[in-house]
Amino acid sequence: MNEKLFEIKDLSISFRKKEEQFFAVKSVDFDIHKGEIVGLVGESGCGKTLTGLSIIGLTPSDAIISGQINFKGMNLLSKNKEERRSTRGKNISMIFQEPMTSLNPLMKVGDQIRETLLINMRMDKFQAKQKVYEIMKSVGFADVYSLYKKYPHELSGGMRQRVVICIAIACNPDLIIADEPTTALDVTVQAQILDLLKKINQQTTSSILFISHDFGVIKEMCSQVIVMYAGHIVEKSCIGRIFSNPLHPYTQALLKCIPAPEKKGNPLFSIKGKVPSIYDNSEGCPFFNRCSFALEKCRKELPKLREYEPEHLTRCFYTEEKNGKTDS
Amino acid sequence: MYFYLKKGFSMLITIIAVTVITFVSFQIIPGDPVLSRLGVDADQAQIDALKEELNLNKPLATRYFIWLKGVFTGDMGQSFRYSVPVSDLILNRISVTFILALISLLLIIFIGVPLGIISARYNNRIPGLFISFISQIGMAVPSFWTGILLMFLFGIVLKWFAVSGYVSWSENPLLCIKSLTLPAVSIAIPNIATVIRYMKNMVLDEMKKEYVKTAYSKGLSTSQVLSKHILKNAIIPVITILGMISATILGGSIIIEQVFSLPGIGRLLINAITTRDLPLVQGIIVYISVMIVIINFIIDIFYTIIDPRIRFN
Amino acid sequence: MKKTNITIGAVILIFLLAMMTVSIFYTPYPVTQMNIKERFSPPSLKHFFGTDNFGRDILSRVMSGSQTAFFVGALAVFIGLVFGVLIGALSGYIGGIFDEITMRIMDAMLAFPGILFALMFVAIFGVGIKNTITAIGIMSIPSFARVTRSSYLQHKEFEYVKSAKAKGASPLRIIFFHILPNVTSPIIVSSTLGFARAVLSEAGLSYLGLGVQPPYPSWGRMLNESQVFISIAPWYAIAPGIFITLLVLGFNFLGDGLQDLESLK
Repeated sequence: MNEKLFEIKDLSISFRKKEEQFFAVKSVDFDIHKGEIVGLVGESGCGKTLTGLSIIGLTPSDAIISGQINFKGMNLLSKNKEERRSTRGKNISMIFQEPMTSLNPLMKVGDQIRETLLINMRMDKFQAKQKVYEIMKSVGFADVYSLYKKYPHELSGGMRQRVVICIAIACNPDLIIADEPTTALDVTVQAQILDLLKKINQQTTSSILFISHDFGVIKEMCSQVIVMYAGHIVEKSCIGRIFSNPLHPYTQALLKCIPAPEKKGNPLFSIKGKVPSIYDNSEGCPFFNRCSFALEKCRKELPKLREYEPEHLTRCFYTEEKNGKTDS
Repeated sequence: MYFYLKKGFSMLITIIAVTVITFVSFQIIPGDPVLSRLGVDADQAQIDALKEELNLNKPLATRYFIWLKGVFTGDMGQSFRYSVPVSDLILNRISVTFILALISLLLIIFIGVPLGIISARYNNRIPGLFISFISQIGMAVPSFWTGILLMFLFGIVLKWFAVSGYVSWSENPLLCIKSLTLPAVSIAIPNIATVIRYMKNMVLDEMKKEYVKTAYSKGLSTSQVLSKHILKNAIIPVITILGMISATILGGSIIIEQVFSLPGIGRLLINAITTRDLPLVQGIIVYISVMIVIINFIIDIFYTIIDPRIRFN
Repeated sequence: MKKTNITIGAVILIFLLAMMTVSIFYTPYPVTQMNIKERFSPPSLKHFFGTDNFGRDILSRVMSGSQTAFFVGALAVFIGLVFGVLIGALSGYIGGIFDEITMRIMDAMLAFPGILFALMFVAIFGVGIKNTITAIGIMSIPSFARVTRSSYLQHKEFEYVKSAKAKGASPLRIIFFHILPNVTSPIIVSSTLGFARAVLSEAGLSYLGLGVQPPYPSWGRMLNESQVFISIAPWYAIAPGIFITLLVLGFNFLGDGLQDLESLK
């Protein structure tokens, strides 16, 4: 296995409202290795975006974060604002969901890419500009010289997302956090962007934390998958095993949701019920009221994460019982 | 190109509308203009002579065009009181009002914009709340009261400024500015408050946008994000209220010139109204209105230069 | 934070309203009573805000001045509201050329400095309290029209309007009976802010001598009178100004607070 770049330990993110504390991310642990594409999957509201934001340090100002985010051995959460800021753009970069609004409408797109070079690398404006042309060519742009001077509103959604990708890869970061990068794009453009990200990962060995609600896309891209629900990690595994042997009822349900040619003619599967809100502080397994396999103890106790196959963990009492791994 | 022509044409129409409205308004004055000028004892010959001179025998439309021609050539008839061409009177005073308005505008922009940004950056924290509080007061205080108080404090008590009296630019630029400082501050204060509020809202709105997140993710500090990205975007809507602000500055100068006894157009207007010198009133109002229309036009054009999105449409 | 605005505004306004009501029946001294021996007395226990050049008690004059401020403000806002809402409602609901032309006119009126319009009005029709109210009232029409129009533009697409139409309700009935009750909050906000503007406009006009004339008291005119004596009796200039500011502050805070409430919905 490659070297471990990021080690997230016991990460919790909460908010205070009227004397009470509400947790959006609860005790999350995972690692990201060099060159790996890790998928963080789950429905809206499960805390995956917040997790990503906490790694790059752009959580809302009222977020209370505890735990450790270890980058090359150092805990980023113990660093001050300036030190955190120095990692942004250079070691960690981010691609956001909405390409239509991710770029400054009043600045030429080329200048926006160049800006990240000027901040993080020692280059003068001219050198940086040449580098920008290189980067733009590497993501597949044709006429880079005239494209540099264009404004965002002159570009299509797919092109804008490519520009955002240019910004993200400009300084050769250790980690690119991609938060639903293709959700707002057409299907055909989606495939192009995903291919581009894969190519970047192979050529530069930048790791990618790929956040999505779409398991189909995750399957395309990732080697390691983390499934989140209501702020908890409910299953963690490498991509092969999670598809061949999904352990958690939520994961199984998610996989059933993926449309596939074989399922043609049958109604699309969807999971009954809704994700619990952040204000719901009930104990027990968060998936309890939507789970077909729920046991009585699931209502009151939160299962622990247990390993069932090498590197394949899940937190589920039903799975424990099925595999004979109950608490002693 | 077509865009600018359209705007120019629209401006022309507005100017024509303004002149028509002004002209017509003054035709509906109650009372007989001839008799009020000559007195009730005037004999018929005098009345007829004056009527002829004032073109009162011609139809309305003709009178309008005669008057309109006069506006363009600068001949708007004799002012009743001064017996001097109206255009002369106005031209003499315009520079005073213009410089006063300019100083006020500069104060408003250079104090209002930064304070607005600061108030957005420290929103809900002490500096921000403090600025919001003073700007509330700034908007509520009548400008002429501020003028009186400033005149008292700085003119009489501290004796830093002269209480009244205007020094013209050609005489002594520095003293000219000094003589206009207190008046300009009085005009500026409520407008600064307006700009602070507006700017604060614009910056706060911009801060929520996606491209700001992208900027932060590159490693920019808050100050850099504000100055390099947000500022340009937030200023654009502020340019639109510049038009409104120019109008309030002109309006404010009318009262303030009275407070400080400055020989500007505003004071001339007040005197003209008080003495019922209607050709003068009419002339001044037309000039001020046309000025406002032209200023708005310039601002519109400026807007398109700044915002590339409008240019390309 | 939002509730604070409303509370502050309400407290100030209630205080001033109370003062105005009291002043109708009682002021420490008769408003017009002159006492040359006591002219230019500084603030004291006997005369809370001091006396003016005729020895009149300034507090009493300021108290009765509040009547003019409220009266002119209320009537002017009323005129602006009635005509503005009418124009805005018709414009927003009917749309088309009527809307285009009307809004053009409203925008032109808004671009014009208010005071200039009032001065033109007064130049043509003369000074005095009636013309002051009318001029300020007309000046207030465009902002009411705009606010009402955008509410109507919004609401005319709502379900309840469509069902009213389906029931066969006439446009007039829809405009006034169905939609109007639902768009009162922005109109109320406009009224408070409009009142503040009206108070400032009246004070300004009266300061120039072109607004409210004697015997009606006016804070603005008092400020004009006080200016001549500023070096002898600076307190004369302070009291009317404070009260103008307070009244405007009250309405501004109230209006802001209500507006914040609106945007939270």
